[in-house]
This record gives sequence, structure tokens and C-alpha cells, in this order.
Amino acid sequence: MRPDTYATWVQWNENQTAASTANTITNLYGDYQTAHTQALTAEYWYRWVNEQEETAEQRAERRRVQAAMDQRSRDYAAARKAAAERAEKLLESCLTSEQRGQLAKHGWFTVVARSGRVYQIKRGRARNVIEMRTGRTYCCHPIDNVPDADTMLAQKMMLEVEEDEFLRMANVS
Amino acid sequence: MTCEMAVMTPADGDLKIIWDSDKPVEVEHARKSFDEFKRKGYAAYRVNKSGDSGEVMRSFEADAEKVILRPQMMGG
Repeated sequence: MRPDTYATWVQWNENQTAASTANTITNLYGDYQTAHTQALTAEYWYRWVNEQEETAEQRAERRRVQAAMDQRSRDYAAARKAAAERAEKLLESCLTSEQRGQLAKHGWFTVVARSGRVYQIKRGRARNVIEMRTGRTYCCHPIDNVPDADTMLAQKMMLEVEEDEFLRMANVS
Repeated sequence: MTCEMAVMTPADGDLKIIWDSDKPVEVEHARKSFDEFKRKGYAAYRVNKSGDSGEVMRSFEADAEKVILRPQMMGG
């Protein structure tokens, strides 16, 4: 157990003595020691925090911080959604009408490499490329966390132009 | 001639850099952007307007009508 966790526990117990018997504390601490996982520590901590009475200033500050965090989450989600939409348009601009039809209808499209091999690229990021003849699944994707449509276009470009490099990098199953 | 570079980035999905191949200032700006992304490990493909018939682009070409830059790849 980390020393600061223990110190927090002791502090908590001292604050509760007026309302708790020593026996209860001993039992609680026993339970705590039995399963002092990080999740459990966090659970006790938040329970204790929630039981404390907030001052008006603390409540206002908590709500201000929460509102700022919520806004950041909304901004991030909106930015990711806009990026995904742009990536989708870029992908579609690089597909033939047949491939666009496949993608709309099935959620995948096929690519013919210069070797003549045909690959199916499914929506997704990992383990989404299948060689049609052998049924092998290939996993090779951008290091960066780009939208799935970008991943699919990157895979398409590699298979069409640098198939050997793609096969060298990919994990096969 | 109007040329464009489409860069796959996490923040933008498709970051467009557009230049006029007849305007040296714009060409230079596009070249710097291209080199910057290449330094970051991006690979570039020169494609036709419909996005197919691609070929690997090792260095910037001012008259490339459409260029796609993808991030570095890894086996998953």
C-alpha cells in the first residue's frame, strides 16, 4: 500500500470517530486491506468526499471545473466527428463508383494489387484487410489515431502501390 | 494549374493544402509543408484526380495534381 493512501485512510478514520465505533473501523479497515485494489481505494475515497459537506465556494468551483471538462469533451467529440466526415469524403473521392457502391452496401470494398491479388478492406482500423483467395487476415494501420476512413485509404494506397511493403509490415492471421 | 495535397491527420482527417503550380510563393509553401510531413514519417502518393493509379512520391513535385499523404504504418 502506498504511504499516502494509508495516511489518507488514517485521516478518514480520525474524522469518522465521533460517529463510528472502533470495532466498525477495524472491520472496515480489515475489508480494505483484504482488497485494496486501486478501484476500491478510489471508491472509498469518492464515497468519503461525497459525504463531506461542500461550502458554496467549493460547490461553485467543482461545478466550474466540471463544466469546463464537459465542454472540452464536447469540443473534442465535435472535432473528431468533423475529422471523420472529412476523411470519409477523401476516401470516397479516391474510390471507383463500384468501390463506393460496395462500401455503402456492405461496409467494405475490394482492391486489386499489381500482383493481381484481390483484397477486401472492411470498415475499421485493425485486422480489417482480407486476401480474398486465401482468406488470410492482415493487420497494418497508421501509427497515428486517424479516422477509420483514413486508415482504409492508407491501406488501399499501400496495397495498390506498395503491396510488398504492406505484407512485410502486416501481422497475418 | 491548381494542385492539392490531402494529408491524413488525427485532428483533421483530411488536411488540404492547395497551391497554384504557376505561383512560386504557393509552390514553395506547399513544398515546405510536404517536406515537413515527410520528416514526420508520412508517405506520399501522386494520384490522378479520381484517386487511383497512384505512385510513390519521394520528393515534392510542383505539378502533381493530387497528392495523398498517409501517416507511418505499423503491424497491428
